[in-house]
Amino acid sequence: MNNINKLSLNIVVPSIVFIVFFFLQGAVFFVEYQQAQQKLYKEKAQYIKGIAGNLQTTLSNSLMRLEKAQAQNVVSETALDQNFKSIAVVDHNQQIVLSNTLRKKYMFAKLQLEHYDGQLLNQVMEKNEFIFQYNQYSQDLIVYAPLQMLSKGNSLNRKFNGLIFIRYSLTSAITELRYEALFSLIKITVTLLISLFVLIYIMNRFIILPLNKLAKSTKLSDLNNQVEIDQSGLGEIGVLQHTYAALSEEVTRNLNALSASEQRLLYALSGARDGVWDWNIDQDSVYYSERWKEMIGFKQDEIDDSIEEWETRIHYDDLFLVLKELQEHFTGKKSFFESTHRIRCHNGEYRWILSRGQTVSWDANGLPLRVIGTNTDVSNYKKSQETLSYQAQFDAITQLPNRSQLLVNIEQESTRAKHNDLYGAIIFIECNQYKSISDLQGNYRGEALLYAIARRIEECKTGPDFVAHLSGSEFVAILPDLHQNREHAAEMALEFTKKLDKNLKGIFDIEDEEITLSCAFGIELFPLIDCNAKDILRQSQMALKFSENNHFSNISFFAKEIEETIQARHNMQKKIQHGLDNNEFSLYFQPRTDASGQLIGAEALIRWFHKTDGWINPADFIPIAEDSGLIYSLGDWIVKTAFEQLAQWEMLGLPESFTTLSINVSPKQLLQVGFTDSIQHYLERTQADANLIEIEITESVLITHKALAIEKLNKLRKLGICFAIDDFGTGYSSFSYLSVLPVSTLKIDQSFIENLMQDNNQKVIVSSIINMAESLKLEVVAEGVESEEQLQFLIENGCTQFQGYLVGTPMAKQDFQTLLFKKQ
Amino acid sequence: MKLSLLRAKRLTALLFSLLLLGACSPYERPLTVGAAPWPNFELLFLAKELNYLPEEQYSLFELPSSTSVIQAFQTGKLDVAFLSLDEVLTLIALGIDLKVVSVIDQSTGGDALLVKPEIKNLESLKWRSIGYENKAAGALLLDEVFTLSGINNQTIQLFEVKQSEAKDVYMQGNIDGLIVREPEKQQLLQLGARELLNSNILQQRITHLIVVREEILRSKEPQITYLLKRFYEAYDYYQLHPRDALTTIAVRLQMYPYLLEESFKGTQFIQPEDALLRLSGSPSNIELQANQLSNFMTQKNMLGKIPDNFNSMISTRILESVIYE
Repeated sequence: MNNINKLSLNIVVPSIVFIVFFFLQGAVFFVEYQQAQQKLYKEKAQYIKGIAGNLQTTLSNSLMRLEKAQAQNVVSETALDQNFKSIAVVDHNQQIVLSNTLRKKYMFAKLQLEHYDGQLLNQVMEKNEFIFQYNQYSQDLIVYAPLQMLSKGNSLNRKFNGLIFIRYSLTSAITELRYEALFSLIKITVTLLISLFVLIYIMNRFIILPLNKLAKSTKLSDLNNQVEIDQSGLGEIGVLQHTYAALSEEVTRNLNALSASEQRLLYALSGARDGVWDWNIDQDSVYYSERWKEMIGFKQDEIDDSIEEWETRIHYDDLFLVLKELQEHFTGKKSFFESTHRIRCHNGEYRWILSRGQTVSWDANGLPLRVIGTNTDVSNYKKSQETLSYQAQFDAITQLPNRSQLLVNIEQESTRAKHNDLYGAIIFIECNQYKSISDLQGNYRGEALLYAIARRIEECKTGPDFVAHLSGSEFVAILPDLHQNREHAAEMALEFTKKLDKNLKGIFDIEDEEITLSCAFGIELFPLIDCNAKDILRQSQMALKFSENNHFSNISFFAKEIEETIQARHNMQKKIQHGLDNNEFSLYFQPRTDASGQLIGAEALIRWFHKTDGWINPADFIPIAEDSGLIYSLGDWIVKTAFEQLAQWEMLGLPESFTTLSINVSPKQLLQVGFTDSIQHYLERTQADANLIEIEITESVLITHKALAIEKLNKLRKLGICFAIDDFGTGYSSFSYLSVLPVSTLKIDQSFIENLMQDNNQKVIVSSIINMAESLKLEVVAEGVESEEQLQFLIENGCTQFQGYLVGTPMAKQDFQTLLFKKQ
Repeated sequence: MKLSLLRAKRLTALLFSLLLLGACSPYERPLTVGAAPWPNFELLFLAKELNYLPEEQYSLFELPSSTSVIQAFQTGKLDVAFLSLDEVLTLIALGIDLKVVSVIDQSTGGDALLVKPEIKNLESLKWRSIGYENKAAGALLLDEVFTLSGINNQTIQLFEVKQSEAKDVYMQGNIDGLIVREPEKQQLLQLGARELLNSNILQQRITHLIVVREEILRSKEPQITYLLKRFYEAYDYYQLHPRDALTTIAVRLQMYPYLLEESFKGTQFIQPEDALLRLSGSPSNIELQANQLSNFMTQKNMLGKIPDNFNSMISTRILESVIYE
């Protein structure tokens, strides 16, 4: 199809004209030739018939006058036409009488005359019939004409006794006709061809050449410069040339503008050192500019046009983001594709590339077909950005996070602490001498000192702790997740700070000079309601300001009540220690009776009379003693004192009903290494009867340290000591351990007894405990019995032993001793 | 563009050559040749019988008498005619453009005055009737008769009898003497006629020629040359196989071969080389003859005017081709 379109009009138009003319002329020629042949046949037939008619007359006359020579003359002269193949006169005997060919005379007609049909002789003679034939095959006209040859006297009847045979050939005439027709066809064809050449010349001169010229000037490469267009064409060609000239001018102007713009763009691109990529999604090919490849260290021919060349070089960590960006651009969420990612270079290193692109064509379904974009090498920018970012977050001198990083961390930890319901602490640290050292001994030395301080602080920190440097000698430490309890958390923070303080007090060896520092610390706990990171930091800094006039000399809490609480606890601890040293503690004994009201035992309870503060409630000092470890000393004192007292009473002669002296042992004490040894030691020293001693333990220790507890209990049991579960029912109250522990008594917590009569549920619980104990063959002691009703209920339900104000308040040694021996 | 023009030029050249080819070989009518019976003319028909002449190129007309030949040539029905010199002069006088291309023979007794057997001499012809074809041969013989016998056209009855009619006329017996030529001469002799005079005694020889219409000579020279060649070949055949040739010729003329052989004796065949000599030169032998004959014929009122440049009517080219090619 294209090839046909490319054919010159010079060939196409004349060819069409020639073909059309050829076929039309061919048809006309054929029809005319047929008609001419027909006409020829008719003319010749007429002619031959005329000749035959003439011969009939002239020959008949001559022959009847017996002028045979005359007749022969007539025949010969008539035959002076080469188309007469035969003119002969045949008589009734089929003998040729006259012939244009003399040698045939007097011969037998049937043998000598070609195409002569002898059978027609009679028909012609008798019926006087003129027979005319046309032999299609030989193209002969044949005539049989009757002829009167002999006179029959005077008779009017004409008697035909011969015939004239004429054979006239149309061959030459037809051939001539054919030649003439062919000749005329050739003439017409030549005329046509000449006309065609004239046509071609005219077309060429006035249409094709101007058009070709025009076409040559249409080449875009030439259009950058103004093209001279020949405008001398005729008619429509002229119009076309004019129009084209105008168009060309316009196009040239636009092209120049475009080219200038393109140059600017190219200049900009090359100036920006950006690589260009052009992704034809439809054809799955990408054009990568030379700079694109050069950027990652490849030569022009080392990267082909597949998208994989790019994709496979993207850093694994960035690939997901790049694809996401692309996806977002393709789905229309973002009008631009923009991604900064790493691409693997020729040498295996990665470079940071900023790739920007935009879809420039879409298919009918709105899917992208082509995306064009640029790649910019942002490695250097990225590096400096990282440095900046590091510098923004880290302090250059100490290599510690800076203020901004600190604030972020505080914010995070604060949020986390809120979520975990734990308290953390922030400690503001300042070294007092730094400024003077820095001023006097130079900046460099100051920086070295700061670095050393930072390292010392870091030495103290544990896993999640965070240390930052602010300005000058200001440091901040964050201790997250300290404790659920705020005071405990504060305590732990204080411990850490003290450790830090001690560490920082060590000698610094800076360039062969020993420096000793003293630091101040400000502590604030978090989370704080309605406080952000800055607030928390500021409060810790404020806490620092108060550190000078502080209980802990150089350590200060922002929250004063905490500080005071801690201070109080510390004081209490000191007092306990002092109390122990000065025998300020004493044992009181609370009676235990059976259902009949008989004294069957007592519970030893510690009491403290301070010389200035008066009586101090055990609830105030026992927890502090437990927290601080003073409980060991205190517990040891109770055990020792109780044993001594029992031994003394034994010597005085205990009543038989008195079976039990119970002593409270804190879990810490029980679990203390060497507890059983100390019990054994005191037993041996005091010679107290171990079988009278009952140690009260809480359920919690059995739950948390079951194996260790069981082991210790069994050891002590072997000594003869009994055990009671104190405050039974308030803890987990698991029955499982009851079967495996050497426990003999359950003490129902007084909280059950207190509301026993008002609360039906309490009754059920208490009676259940009693029933169960009974089943397990355990003694049950009801504590806190304060009314007769309670007592009555308990007795009715099978409880055997009672404690409480109703049966006896705790009393001093002398009072109890009086009671003990009075009854006796 | 240039290529297509070049191609077009080539195409044009091709078409023009085709056209020329077409112009060169349009339908060509056969060459029409005619002759009346005369011994050496029969060689023409012999050539045809020997298939020397292809039918599509040569159309031979068998005409009964010289008059018919002249008429046919005159009316353009013949391209080539075999005639006697006087007949040629007659045609020239009529303004027919022709060329004499060869000389065939001379009558050495072939033309004769025959009379009924009872007439014994020329003088006996006085007041008798003589039939002749109004031609130079007849006139020359008649003139000789007048000269020898003293008879003139006042004392004799003259009738026009054409060659082919001679036999019929003689048999009807109405005419006493007939000036005839071969082969009728032999036929009449066979019928008992007496020969009183023949062309042998004539000073002026009766010469037979081949003439061609001028325009035909120009357009069909090779064809004419070929015709002459074949004519002379037929003569050669006659020389080599006289019996065969005579028999063949005799069939056409409806006579016995031995009579025909006699007929040939009344002629003197002129070989082509000799013929060329007679036609060549200025004035040529033929021209001299023609001048002489035309003078005679003018005297006898047989010729309207004397052809002035007979030499220009002669073309030796054909004969040269026949001899040398």
